[in-house]
Amino acid sequence: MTPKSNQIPLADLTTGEEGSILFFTGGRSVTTRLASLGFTPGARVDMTQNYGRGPLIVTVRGTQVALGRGEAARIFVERSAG
Amino acid sequence: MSDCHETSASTRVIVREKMPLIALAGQPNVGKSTLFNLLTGLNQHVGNWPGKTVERREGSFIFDDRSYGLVDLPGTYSLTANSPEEVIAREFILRERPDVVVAVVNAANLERSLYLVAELVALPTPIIVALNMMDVAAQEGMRIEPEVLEAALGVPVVPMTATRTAGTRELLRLLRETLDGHRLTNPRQPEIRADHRAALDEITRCIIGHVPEPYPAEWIALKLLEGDAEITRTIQNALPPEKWEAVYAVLRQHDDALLAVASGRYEWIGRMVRAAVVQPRMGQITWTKQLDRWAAHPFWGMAILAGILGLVFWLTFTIGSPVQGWLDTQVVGGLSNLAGQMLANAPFWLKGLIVDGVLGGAGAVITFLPIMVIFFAAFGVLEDTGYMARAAYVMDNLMHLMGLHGKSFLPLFLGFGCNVPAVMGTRVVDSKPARLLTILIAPLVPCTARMAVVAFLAPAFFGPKALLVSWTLVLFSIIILVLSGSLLNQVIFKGQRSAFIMEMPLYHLPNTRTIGLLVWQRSLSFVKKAGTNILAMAVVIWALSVLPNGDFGTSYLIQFGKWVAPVGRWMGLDWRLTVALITSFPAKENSIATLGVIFGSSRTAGLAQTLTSTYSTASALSFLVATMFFIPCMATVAVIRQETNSWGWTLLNIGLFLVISIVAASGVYHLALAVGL
Amino acid sequence: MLEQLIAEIRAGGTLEVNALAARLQTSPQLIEAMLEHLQRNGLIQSYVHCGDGCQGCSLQAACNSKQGTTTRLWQSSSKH
Repeated sequence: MTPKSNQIPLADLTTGEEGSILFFTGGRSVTTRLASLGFTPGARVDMTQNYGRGPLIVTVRGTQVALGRGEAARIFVERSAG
Repeated sequence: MSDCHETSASTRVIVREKMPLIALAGQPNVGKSTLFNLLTGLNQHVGNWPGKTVERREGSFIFDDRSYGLVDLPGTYSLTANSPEEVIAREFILRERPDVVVAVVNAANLERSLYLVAELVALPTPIIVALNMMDVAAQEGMRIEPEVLEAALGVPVVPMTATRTAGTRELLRLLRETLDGHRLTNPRQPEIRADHRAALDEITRCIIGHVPEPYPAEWIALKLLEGDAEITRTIQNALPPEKWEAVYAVLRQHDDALLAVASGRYEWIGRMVRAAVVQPRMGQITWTKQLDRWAAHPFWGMAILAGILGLVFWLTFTIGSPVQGWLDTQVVGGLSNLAGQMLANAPFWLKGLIVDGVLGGAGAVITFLPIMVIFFAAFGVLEDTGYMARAAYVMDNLMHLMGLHGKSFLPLFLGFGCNVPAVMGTRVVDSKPARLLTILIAPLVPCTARMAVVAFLAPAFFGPKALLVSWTLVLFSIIILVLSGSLLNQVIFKGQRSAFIMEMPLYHLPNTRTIGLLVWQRSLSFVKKAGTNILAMAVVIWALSVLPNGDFGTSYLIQFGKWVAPVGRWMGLDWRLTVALITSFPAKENSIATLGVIFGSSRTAGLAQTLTSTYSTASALSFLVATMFFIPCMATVAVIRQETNSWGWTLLNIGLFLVISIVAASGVYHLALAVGL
Repeated sequence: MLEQLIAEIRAGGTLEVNALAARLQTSPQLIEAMLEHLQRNGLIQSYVHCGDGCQGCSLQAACNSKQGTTTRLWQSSSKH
């Protein structure tokens, strides 16, 4: 197995950090809606705004998407170096 | 071009004297003809394809002292034998062997127009992709990277806008380089799904060595799998019977291969598009990010939202109210007087019907329009600039108190204008429970109609404190809304939480046309929906107030009011106020009109003084609270039924509001009495 | 991909281009292109273009069903 230290919930990225999507946990309907906005495994996400509480804004495939903190906690990403 | 050969179409061979032949291929409406005209100018002639009624256009042009022949193939979506055009296009490429095929694609719709390219790359002729209509793609906010598409496709790509002659020189240079062999094309082929791959290989094995010239065996195998009727006939005739039997057996086993082949091409297209298309406009993105630092900030965002809301209400009431008053006294009042004079000698019931019923009802609708228009316009501007998504975003935390999320804030905000669009607006909420909850509580938002009743009564009773009382009532409504929301969420929806996922559009300047259209459509639908209801109910209420004896004092309305008066007494309301409250069901502002009828003055001018002298402050306060929370107006109830598609939820909503209004009004009444009002 | 699309259409119910795109892990534009393709080849039939139910709604821009709000009706043909 690959080391899991790099797998973090999307909500843990701080403003300005980037990552690539690994997998989703949680319901199919949420996953479907996320996918329709461009959240697919391998896609690069860019944390646009994260104040540590409340909803956050991420940029994925050039589109800005607002996510509830709960939703962002169910998307697992690999933090990009740098 | 030698058209003079008198051979039949299938064996026709073109004799060329060193002049390279180029074919233009493309789907309909990709600007292929524009490009053809641009390249050939007057050096073209139009004929028919042999034996077909399809137009054949060919011509020549000179570039850097060299001549080139150009044939415009018929516009086709694919190269399967669906139509004569498709057969002509593929037969031309396979038999007459143009030196290069230029595939014209629509940059603004790559998903569709790359399908033909997916078929062309399977043919042995070198191709160049002319990425046309780049201007349209740019207008639609798409950014395409031609060099990435080139790398992904494995064939040369040239961006162009044929309508503005942009990119033609690059296309010509690329053509020359390709013809000179300086450009090696190595197209990436679409793949067929693994379970059909074996079938394709088997068919290829069976037919190899039997395929008539000039068809490539693998291409034939693919067309057989696709069920191409013409190719199937050709191969059936060319193959020895036992080989055909073997091929036919495979085909029968894979009769769904048609979709598998097309599917493979769409997957290939998907990969190409994902690689080459960069979504939107960078400048707008940086601008949006800058603005969002404030508008989407947890604290400043709320402050900005509060400021904007205040501005919208201020605009609505400072501009709307005077216009409303003017319409009421001058237009509606004038019409009533005029009708009264004209009908002076008419039977009393006709005069009553026209003046009190029809004009009274229509008047209510007309006087509401200015406030609605201003509110819709303000809302339209906020929406069109992209701000509304930010409002939803910053409200997300607060909405969580009710188990809702930011998106539910949008329809609730709309409710300040009118509850009808608010209920319809709940369609933006994605999950069903959250949507139902939003619908249930949406009528708690005080709409302009209720605010108009407050605006009429509050100054009469509270004088200079009217504004304070009005704002307190609004605040009270919002508190009740949050309380009911969280309670309902716990009781009915068991504390479910729905996902908050929302695209944040880029900010842009509002478009007056869009907003104008929106205001027009919304106002029209308000007049139609609310207007007809209010008008009809005004007539009904008038009828109830004169039937059965033509005397108001003994009318059905009074009888009903007296019957329910005991409930009213809890709230400190006498039968007259109770009747007024009940008649607010068809339209909230009716309650004033009803009081006018009851107190015998159809003109509202003297009504305020009459009311002040009749009722105590406690009763007045209670009446205002009851009005704020009474059963939603008829139009709102109708859309609740329509949007929930259930009488159960609709009745629950009515019951809920009845309870809230009685409890709240009684509470306020007794509290007011206790503090000595 | 086309097979899945046809399966979704056969399954019936309300389909929305964005949701279909998500289910098939692709873009709405590609779904549109495939629907056109299937229709051209007679594999599905398109019925009436219904009115736009959301017309004039000022929340349209925030609504899930904002794209392709014009409702279309598709039916998969018996022809295969």
